[in-house]
Amino acid sequence: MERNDYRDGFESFLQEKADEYNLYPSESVWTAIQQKLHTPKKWPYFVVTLVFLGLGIFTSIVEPSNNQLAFRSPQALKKLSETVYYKRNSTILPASNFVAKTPIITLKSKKYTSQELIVKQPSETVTNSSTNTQESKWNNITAIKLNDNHSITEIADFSVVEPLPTRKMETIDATTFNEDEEISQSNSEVATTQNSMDSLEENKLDLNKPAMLSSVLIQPHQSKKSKINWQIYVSPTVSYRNLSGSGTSTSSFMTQSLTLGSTNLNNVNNVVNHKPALGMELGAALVFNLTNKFRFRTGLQFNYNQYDIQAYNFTPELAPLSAGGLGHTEIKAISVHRNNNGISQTWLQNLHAMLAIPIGIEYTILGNQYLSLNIASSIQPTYILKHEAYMLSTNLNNYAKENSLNRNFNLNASSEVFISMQKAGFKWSFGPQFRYQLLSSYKKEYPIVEHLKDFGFKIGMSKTLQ
Amino acid sequence: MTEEALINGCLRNEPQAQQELYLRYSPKLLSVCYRYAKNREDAEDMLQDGFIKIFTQIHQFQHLGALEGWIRRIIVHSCINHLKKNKKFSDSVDIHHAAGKYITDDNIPSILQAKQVIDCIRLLPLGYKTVLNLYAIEGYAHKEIAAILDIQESTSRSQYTRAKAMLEDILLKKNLIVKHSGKNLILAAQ
Repeated sequence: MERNDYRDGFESFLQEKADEYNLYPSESVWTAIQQKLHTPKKWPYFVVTLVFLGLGIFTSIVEPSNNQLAFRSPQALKKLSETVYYKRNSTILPASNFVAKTPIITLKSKKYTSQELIVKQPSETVTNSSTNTQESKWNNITAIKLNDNHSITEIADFSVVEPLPTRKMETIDATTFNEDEEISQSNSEVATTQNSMDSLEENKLDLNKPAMLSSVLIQPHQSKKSKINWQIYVSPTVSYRNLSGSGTSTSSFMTQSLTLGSTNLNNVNNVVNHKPALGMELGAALVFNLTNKFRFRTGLQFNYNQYDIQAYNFTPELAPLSAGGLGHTEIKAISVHRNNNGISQTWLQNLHAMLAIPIGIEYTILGNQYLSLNIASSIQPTYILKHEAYMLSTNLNNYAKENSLNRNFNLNASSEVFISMQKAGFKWSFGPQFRYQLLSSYKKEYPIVEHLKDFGFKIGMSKTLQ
Repeated sequence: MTEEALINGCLRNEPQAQQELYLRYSPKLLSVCYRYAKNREDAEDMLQDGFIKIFTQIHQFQHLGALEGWIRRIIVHSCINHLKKNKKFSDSVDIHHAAGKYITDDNIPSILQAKQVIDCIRLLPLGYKTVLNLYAIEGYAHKEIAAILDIQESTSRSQYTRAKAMLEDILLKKNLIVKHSGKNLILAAQ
């Protein structure tokens, strides 16, 4: 810095008096500084809350409450439970472990059009002469019969034995039944079931005889399939940016840039050295089936992206960040970073946290409900939660932050290709995606235009709403 | 707490170190802001913005000079930035606009010494006092002032000459300096 070394007595006098004069700021100044420096950042909490809320809703949707089949006629049950055997994990257990209010069978479903609990009871005891032991001949008996559309928790009594209707039924091991499993009815199963049904007419449950759980006949309630899916997704991304100069301020910016004397300075990309960095995307969405191939998607999405800029530390100096001109005051910020030739090299990190509402379309190119190849695109109105960015000065010499030039709202576009597959009751999707910020990160007063772009790999999990 | 410990504490974003640094320098720095500001409230705003910059950028302090000098430069730039947000400022540093302003006896404060001198400086038109503050008190060169204020170097020089003449006139009227053999002589402290 060129100092004015020559000072006459007058200037020294002024300096001396200025140094003697102290003023004490009001308490509110320090309070405001402290609040600015130490107020916890709200957006991480907001995002975490959002994610947990989404997961909570999702879990409550995909994890229906277990309905327990409980015998509510304690007296009848007590007799039965002493002798009924309970089949679980291929092991026959005495049902005496499951008395009174203890559920004997747990079913993972809400509603059934009909339910049958079948137990086996010995009809007669025969003596095996060779081994000199008694053996029982077992008959199948329907122990419980519920009418259509009863919830399984509505069992009020231990009703016994009615002829089964001649309709398609599924024989399912009660301990392993899951409503989400595909019900495929084979003819042999139907026949087996029907045979056992026929024998039921002449057999009645004798509560004084031992019994063994045989099977449960269930026909799940056939609800109309929902057209809406919930989806949560995450995408690790690599963030980068495009720089250019444009608009009415270009001439001023270009004039200044040419004064640097470097070659090809018209392209701002030639004077900056930046590199991508890792970011991420988190979101929850509702997907509406429009047709078999088209789906509409919207939701809430959080994006965090960043990139690094090479710079050099330097003493504080002013960095012009907007072009002046008629009716405009040029904005300058204090900069301690130079683009070139500083005291020491450093990497500056520009980061953005955003909240967006993606509105888009998915299209299935090929495949079926179990495995498919899809494309999707969306437009994303975006609010910038956090904008920590060093801006290149218009003379291309410095980097400085100037919040007043940041844009708070923006618009992004996204496109992706993904494979979708059905697995364990969920639809999983994964594939590459590209997100591009359509408007500059900065207001038009700043002549350098920045478009952020993210390359990511998206992993999503979705489930049909009940 | 030593200056080194203070810096390290601020680097770790420790409130205690930040407060000590603030308490140590804020009285002097508020008086710097006050010389540029229209009123005390504006001065406190400038100080607040400046300290936030100091604390957020202290990792950039290179130990090449005194910490106070580095802090003071940040504060001065904060003041200038604050002034620039006011559209009238760009007009006020134009010498043709400022030249027509005159100070009357009634404007001159009657309190003593340092505050009296500072208040006399604050009576100057905005452009004059900004250049005078930067050149005479902060020690910036006219070339730097021209860059900071977006004016010509020659404008800075002439602004300063006029500011100095106007201030001397005020100080003469207040008997803080006396005219002797055509030259202004500074009186000893009262």
